Amino acid sequence: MGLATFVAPRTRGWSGARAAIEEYVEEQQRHHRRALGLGQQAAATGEEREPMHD
Amino acid sequence: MTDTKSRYREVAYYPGCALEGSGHAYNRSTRALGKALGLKLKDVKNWNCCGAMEVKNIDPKLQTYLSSRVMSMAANEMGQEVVMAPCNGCYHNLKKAEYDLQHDADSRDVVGRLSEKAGHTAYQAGQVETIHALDWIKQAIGEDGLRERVRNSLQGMRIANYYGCMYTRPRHIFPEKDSGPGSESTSKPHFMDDLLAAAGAENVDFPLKTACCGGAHTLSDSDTSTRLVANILQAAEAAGAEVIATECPTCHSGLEMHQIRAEKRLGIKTDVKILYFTQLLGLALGLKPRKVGVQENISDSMGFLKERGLA
Amino acid sequence: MSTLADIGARLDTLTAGEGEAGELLELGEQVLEHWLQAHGRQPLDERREGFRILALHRQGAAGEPSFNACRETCRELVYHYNLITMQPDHPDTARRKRMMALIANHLFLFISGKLQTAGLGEFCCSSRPLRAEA
Repeated sequence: MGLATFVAPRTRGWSGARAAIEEYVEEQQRHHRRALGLGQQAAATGEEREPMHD
Repeated sequence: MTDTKSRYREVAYYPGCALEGSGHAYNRSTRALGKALGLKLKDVKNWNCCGAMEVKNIDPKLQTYLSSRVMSMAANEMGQEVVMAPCNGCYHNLKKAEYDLQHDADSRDVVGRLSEKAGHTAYQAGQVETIHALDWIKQAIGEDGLRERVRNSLQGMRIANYYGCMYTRPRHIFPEKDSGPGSESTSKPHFMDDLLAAAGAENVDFPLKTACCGGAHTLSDSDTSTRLVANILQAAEAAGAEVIATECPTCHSGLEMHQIRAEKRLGIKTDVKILYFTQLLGLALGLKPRKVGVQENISDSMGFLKERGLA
Repeated sequence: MSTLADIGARLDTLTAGEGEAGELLELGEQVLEHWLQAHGRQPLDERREGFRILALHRQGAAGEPSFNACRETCRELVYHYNLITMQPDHPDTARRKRMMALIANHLFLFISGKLQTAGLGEFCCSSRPLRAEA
């Protein structure tokens, strides 16, 4: 199937994009938890739990 | 017309993840075909995944960012005006991102924020035109140009052209389609038919040309995919086709793998050959089967191609 | 209305031989009725461009854009119905009937597959974007 089957292409300099994406995903997870009424108590006290990575 | 042709003679090439792996034959044949036609492909610098189906279904705006980054690399790092994506999934996602950035302020906001944090220029809607490999050959060479270059005509080869579900759907992200004479149709696409006919092939009337191949069901319910593919293959044969021409690596792999599985699991045997349109056009231009990656296909069509004087 | 399993079994028989255009069109309508009922909607008895199947498809696609992936399949069913019924003595009639059965079978497989995988949550076009409302 060619060399590419064994040597996966890599995106260089991805760390900035990865950090930005992770931050965005965490922000979205907080938003979804609030929308679903999960962790409301923690949110009210300003001690929101860390987002779940399941 | 000359201006249109020259606009597409050199384009940014976004192969996407599938063409680096299971769809490598499509990558090889696309590059070989471009070279044989005197067209230039400049790989998008440092490209990333378009967001595929997985990201899109979890967070569409994140997919918009990922696709926009690819377009940003082409526009802002390479100064290109046209990005060519041969994979239907990538093509679809880039077009969807373009549409979202044109019409949705929230998407623009997310892309702007993420691009800034990631350290690259945010893509602005309209900076590039995203096209499919079919558009590329159709616009840069055209049917007349192909006819002039054909050395091994596909004459007598009966082909069912299979476009899959993502090349034309949803209609609103492809404003250039259904836009008058010469444009592609979303209900009855014909660009692949046109190009292969120019290479001498006889296209059969194939009513399932945009039907679902069950590609995304493969992981959740392989039997559904196998039945859908078996039905497509049977319909192609019932239409009189000897070959199904494809233009998407996911569809192509699905057709090939489920053709084998349908025989083993359901006892449905079909003989129709499955080849990328780029492989067929390359062979018509006189390229050897190895040059267009026929040996990389799962389904074996060498015997058939030898019979037809193409190998 | 037949069960989906019965429709599938009937189509299995018809794809191997020659079905009648009227029955194949009706089987297609029944598949769409199943889709609508599974989504808590009463199938309409209206026609669109002279065909109930096209009206049912439109009803099924309301609020479910991914359902448009079978729009052309429904239209091809109608096209083949017209070919067969308007040119019954055409030399291609047997082939057209077989093709119409394969098209109806594709509609059945696509919709029954979507109904099955919809229960699995977010997945490709088979699912609703659960977070769209969040």
